[in-house]
Amino acid sequence: MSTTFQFNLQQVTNRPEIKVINLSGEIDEGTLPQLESYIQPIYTNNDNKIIIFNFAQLEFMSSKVIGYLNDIHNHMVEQNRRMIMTEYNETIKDIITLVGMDQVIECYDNLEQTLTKI
Amino acid sequence: MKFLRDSLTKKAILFFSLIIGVLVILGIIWLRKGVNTISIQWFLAGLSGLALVILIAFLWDVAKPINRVAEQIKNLLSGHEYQRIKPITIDEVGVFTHFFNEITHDLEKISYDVRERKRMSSELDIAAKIQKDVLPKKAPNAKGLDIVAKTKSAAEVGGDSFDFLSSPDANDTFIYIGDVTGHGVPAGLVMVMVDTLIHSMVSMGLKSAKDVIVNTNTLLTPRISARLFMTLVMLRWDAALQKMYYTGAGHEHILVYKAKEEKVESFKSGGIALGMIPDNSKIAKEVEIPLEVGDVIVLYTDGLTEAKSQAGEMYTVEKMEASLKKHGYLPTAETIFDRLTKDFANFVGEYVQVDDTTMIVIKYAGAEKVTETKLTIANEENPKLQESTIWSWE
Repeated sequence: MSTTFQFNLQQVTNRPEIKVINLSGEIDEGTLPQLESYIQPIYTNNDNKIIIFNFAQLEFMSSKVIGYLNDIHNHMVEQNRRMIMTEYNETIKDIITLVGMDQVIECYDNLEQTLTKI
Repeated sequence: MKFLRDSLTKKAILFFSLIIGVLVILGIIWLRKGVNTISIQWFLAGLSGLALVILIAFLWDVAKPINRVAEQIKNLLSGHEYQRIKPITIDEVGVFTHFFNEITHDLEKISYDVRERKRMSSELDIAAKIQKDVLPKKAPNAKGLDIVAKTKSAAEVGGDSFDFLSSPDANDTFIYIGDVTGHGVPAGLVMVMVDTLIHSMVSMGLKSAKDVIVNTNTLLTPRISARLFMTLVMLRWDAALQKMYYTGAGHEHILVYKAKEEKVESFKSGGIALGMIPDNSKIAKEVEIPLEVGDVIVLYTDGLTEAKSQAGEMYTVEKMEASLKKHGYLPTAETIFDRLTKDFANFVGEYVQVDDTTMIVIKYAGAEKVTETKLTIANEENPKLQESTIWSWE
């Protein structure tokens, strides 16, 4: 059964070093390569000091996606940059907290709060 | 001239035009010289010469190139060694030669691919066998517990795992269930690594599930890709005290059926998945699960809760809980396991499995009751069962 998902990049006014990646739909093994090709140039760009993943519209992500996000997080931390996750619904929150990802990656309830805290 | 050389018909027309041209010129010359008749000998000699020229031209330009191709085709069809042929003409024979070269090139590629696929398939079979050998075959001596565990892989090599291990003093039994990111060979390799590490830790005499998990994580993390991790929950059964403890490593919920209250408690296993951070010692904890006789613990992997029905709806932990609440009262772990499976199979219907699935049902039968553990690993090699559209562990 194929799933669909969408993504877009949001700029933060007067904060060019911050990039917000909005994800929506369902991401699994089948759609992960699309996400990878989209995100790769963003997280490998050292000018992007902070990348915020906004899961507001995301309905599901598989364990492979979690592994991929963990990989990005490790990559950014090694370069003293930050990766943040925000605005997840109960399903995504369950996935993230079950694996324990919320204990290593910064998480905030909503984008506004995230931008205030950083 | 290329225009004339790219077709046998054009070549034939040109050739005969030349012969007719030569005859016409000879005729004109002879007429001008007053030669009106030639002898029958000259005529026959000229005709023979002409036939010889035609024959040589035919042999050189048509028969020889065709024979070169035909000879190699014969070799190919009879299984002898054949060679590619360098085209010497650009006409139809040249096209056949090129076609032969292309076909043989493709055949060699296909043949290589088939050999390679056979080799890979045979290696996958070996990997699958190694992995199945890793799964437990012998029931642990866990006095007081009635256990049923089954697993089914979505691919030849799966990422799900479970095992039962006894401490060196035989008092403690460690029971774990784990799920590596994705499935297939990479997941299978990590699963085997983790199982080996856990066996080493337990045989070294580590006393708590927390210590086993922390040490396994320390050794595992630097050896695997950051994209790979394994969620796991480990139970430790203290036979002397008749107490159950658990330590989570980012795995699914633990479901506990409380027989007295006839209700299901569901809680997160906690911790962080193995392989995510180098040191999980501050996160991992060993916590007791208070058990009374008749209580049931269910451990599972997300292949069950994330399985979808025909309508695309997920099975979810809530449905697992509801199913356990309905069947948790049953007298043996096996009957509970079967009913949970039946509810799941009814929900997913003809669902095509996309992830590995594993479930362990443990019923606390009481210290006096000695029970045997039943272990079943799905037999993926039975084609009749594979053809079945109804979901089952087989």
